[in-house]
Amino acid sequence: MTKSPFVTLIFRGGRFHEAAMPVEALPELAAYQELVLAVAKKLFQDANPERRRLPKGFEAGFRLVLERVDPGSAVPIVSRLSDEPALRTLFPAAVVPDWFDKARDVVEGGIGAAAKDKPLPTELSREILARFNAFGRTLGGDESIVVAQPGKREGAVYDRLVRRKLVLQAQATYEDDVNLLGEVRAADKDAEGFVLRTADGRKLDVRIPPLFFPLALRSLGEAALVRVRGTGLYDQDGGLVKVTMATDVSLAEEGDEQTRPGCPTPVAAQVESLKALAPGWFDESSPAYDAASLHWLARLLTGVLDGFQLPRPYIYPTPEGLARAEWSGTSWEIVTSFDLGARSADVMAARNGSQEMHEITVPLGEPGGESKLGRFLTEHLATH
Amino acid sequence: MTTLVPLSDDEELLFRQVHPSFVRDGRPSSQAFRPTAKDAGKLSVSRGSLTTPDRAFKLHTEGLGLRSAGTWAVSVGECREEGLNVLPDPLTSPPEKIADPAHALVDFAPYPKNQAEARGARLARKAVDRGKMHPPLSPDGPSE
Repeated sequence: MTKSPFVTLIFRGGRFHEAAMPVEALPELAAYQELVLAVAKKLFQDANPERRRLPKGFEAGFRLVLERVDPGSAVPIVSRLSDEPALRTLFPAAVVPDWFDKARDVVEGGIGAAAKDKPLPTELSREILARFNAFGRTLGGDESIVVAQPGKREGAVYDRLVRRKLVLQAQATYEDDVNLLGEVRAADKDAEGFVLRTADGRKLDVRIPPLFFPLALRSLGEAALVRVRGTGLYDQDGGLVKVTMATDVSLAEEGDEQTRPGCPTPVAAQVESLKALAPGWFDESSPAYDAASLHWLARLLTGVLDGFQLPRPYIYPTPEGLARAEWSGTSWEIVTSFDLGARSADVMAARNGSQEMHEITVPLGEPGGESKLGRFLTEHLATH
Repeated sequence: MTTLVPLSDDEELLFRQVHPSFVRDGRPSSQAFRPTAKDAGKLSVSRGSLTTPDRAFKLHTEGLGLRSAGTWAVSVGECREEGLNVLPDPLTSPPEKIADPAHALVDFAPYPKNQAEARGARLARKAVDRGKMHPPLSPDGPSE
């Protein structure tokens, strides 16, 4: 049995700063293996349409192992076990890529294309794109996985936004983790669930295993806040549609009332208030706002906030007709000025108690713009 | 020509009126704490040593007919920490519509737009932390 490097997966951001692999992120490796296996099967079937079955031992022939975690963010070394002689290890250049090597390359290519809003490899069918639901599920808003060739450190960057783009190519909704705080407003034992009202006024259907029903009834009777963790169904705009299955329902902790502090008013309502401004609202030159542009802004902001788990900004008009989103972080004051006509944003972060200032300009009509904005905001809204 | 001497009492408060559209859930936008493009780099404020938050509010709204959600404040010291001089600029009538002996200007002119934005953002934070000066908050929470 030999081992040969198969892929480099570099986990960056958030929990991976300490160059350690948190246990809760280990399922990502299994999800990656399943994804590559699914692509390899598809590649084989496309190349052999006359065959109804895969070769014997096809699936068992693809086994990935985690050898160690190298430093530099968290870099799990993922190798492939093989019964072949040590050809792959000793003479890697002499080895003809097999279905799994090709599948790995297709996955990397697909991630890279999605990140840049380019056409995806045709091998990524709808069924396979839906499998990206399971890969990257544990990533936080400020975390990403670099998917690279073995021995390389540069490759396609996979984060929550890219994952969403890939899954939504196959279907109108996608699944992701939820962590909600709210009050149970109605419970239905026959439907195996309840209705949760969150802090921002949303009412969501939550499906639960029977064991959580007594707590749901208690919350309903006592108006007690509960925390719901599980899997949610999101629409194309990143809006949570419902909780498809709660894996934990528990009483909220003291001080839990705002899990994502920020403006209490939802983005949609704030943007709607800009629509109501008439020409001359500030001075004779202040324009009114275009409804289509505001709709774009609301979708953009909702997507970035949900994708990177960011607090809600305070949104204001400007006399020049821009839209302005402001955050007060622990250390930084952040102002993002959106040019709704040019679809771009100037972002400025001013550190409190010093003259330090960071700024970027983000063309939001170009691929990667939202991610660039999200990463800048995440970096400056962190609590350090 | 008289040379204006910048204010030096760091404890003196400077009152700023904030347009209602620049207040969201009780929080004023930081654009209210830096000059607009038409202000020639100078931000109008009212000196706390010469007026009060409610008189400044009334002069702005009833006297000048302008809209305000209320009065917020920064101090001379907070402006000086940002490298901003505060220059007394009492207004007489005529030529102004209403006399305002408490009028002053925070001088952002030495700084380019982005640095003025950064200074305004930090001043806004100070004003928010200090709290709205007028009208006073109702027991039920922010009035805007």
